Amino acid sequence: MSEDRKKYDITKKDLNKVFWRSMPIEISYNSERMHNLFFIYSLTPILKKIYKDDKEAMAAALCRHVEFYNTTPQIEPWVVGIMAGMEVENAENGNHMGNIITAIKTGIMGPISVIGDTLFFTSGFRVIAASVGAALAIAGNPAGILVYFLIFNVPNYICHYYGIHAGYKLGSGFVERIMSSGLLKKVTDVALTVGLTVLGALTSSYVSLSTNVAITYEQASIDLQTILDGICPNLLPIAFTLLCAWLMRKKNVKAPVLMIIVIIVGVVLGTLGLI
Amino acid sequence: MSVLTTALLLGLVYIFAWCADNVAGASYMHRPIVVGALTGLVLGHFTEGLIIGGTMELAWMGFLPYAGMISGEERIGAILGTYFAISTGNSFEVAITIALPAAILGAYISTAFNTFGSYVMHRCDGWAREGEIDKINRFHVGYGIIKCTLMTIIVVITVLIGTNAISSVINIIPEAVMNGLEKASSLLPAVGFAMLLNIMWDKRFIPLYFVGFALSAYLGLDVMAITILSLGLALYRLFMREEEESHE
Repeated sequence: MSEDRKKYDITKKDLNKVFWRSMPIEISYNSERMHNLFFIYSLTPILKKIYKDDKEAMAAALCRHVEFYNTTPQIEPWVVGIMAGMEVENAENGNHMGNIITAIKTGIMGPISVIGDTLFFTSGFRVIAASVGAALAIAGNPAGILVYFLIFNVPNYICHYYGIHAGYKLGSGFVERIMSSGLLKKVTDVALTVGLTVLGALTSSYVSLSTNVAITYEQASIDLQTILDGICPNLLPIAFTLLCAWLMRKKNVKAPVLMIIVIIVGVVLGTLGLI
Repeated sequence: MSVLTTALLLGLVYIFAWCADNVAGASYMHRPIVVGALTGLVLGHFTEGLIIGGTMELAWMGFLPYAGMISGEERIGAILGTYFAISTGNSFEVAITIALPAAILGAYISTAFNTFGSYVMHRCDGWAREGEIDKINRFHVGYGIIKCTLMTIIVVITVLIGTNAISSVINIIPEAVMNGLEKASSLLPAVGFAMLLNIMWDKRFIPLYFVGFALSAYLGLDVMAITILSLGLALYRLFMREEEESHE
């Protein structure tokens, strides 16, 4: 296969072109097909090289990639790399692989989104970057921005560059390899361990809620907050956070709505001097 | 500095934030932690902007476009919130009160554009059938330029017409309510953390949430220390399991 690929002479330089062109990921984001045009834009150096004398094959390739696609942008270059490899393979084998390409592209959307979202989005690098960066920023330290940038983007750009080059070499074997090595589970486990522990720490550090209510009992007055602190420090912040989570999980309260409710409740209680 | 100059500079901040995320490989540099500081820089109050941005970052930790659903236009929210808070001499509580509705409204505009864009995008189907790759690529780039320009104009206009109106509204808010607003804004991170908690909800790992809480609440460890501890523990567990599996 590697000899066949020489037929089209896809060089490292071509793949680097793909790398640079795969930077603007979501600029043409549209509600119906989301990241579709990004694929055509990124694959252009490859497609123009392999289908330059075959207008029909070029049209077929464009029709494949103009369809819906969506996954985590930070990990999406892997799909681009794999697609580059498969398009070259298709051109070598008489353009019969169209359906397989579409099937694989669609098939990896699920697993790769799970890896991407846990690593770069809902936990993993973004949560760590934002927690550590924001802690510094709140203390008035500009290094917070740099730390935020580095923790998120060093892995992001490594994943991006490596994704194009390694994805191209792996081709279609990539999915099987990921599934059989248990990589998906490993990545998710580590990300969840760190993500949830850090989230617990953030709840204690940055949600601030204490009550000014005093309990009067036989002329003696005790601050409710003192009692609560005796049970567990920061008990109200974690209880309030769990209440919010419960409202969204079980009562289907939407996040923006909940934010507005929290502001109103907070303003009322705060104005009355209860918190 | 005249309001016009400020508005144009804030427009530039928006363009930076838009491009940092959409053009520079999803770098996530459009979040409040960056945008708040840049807005502060433009206004000559860098540190205030940095602090407001950092606080907003935590409050909006879970405020994400998730699974294709846009829940807020954080860029617009962070720029307008930070700007109006600093220019009226206020702090985070005012910033978040303005940022939240601005972000939600911004998201509506953005979604409307994306829906309209889907309709126009169908032009690409025809080009695909004709093999016209260059036309599709021009559409991809042109779409981004038009969208970014449109959103920037909205930021500039809001700053131009909103400055006086918002200042006068903020000035008539009584002291007690302002105090309530401050308390309310310090509650908001709870919503963001709750959102993340729900996304990461996995029964086997939930106990760790309480471990992290206790490390901070009782031992007073900072976030970085807890990150390192949990990462170490997670990798230790991973390597031990790999070794066990290889022995089997």
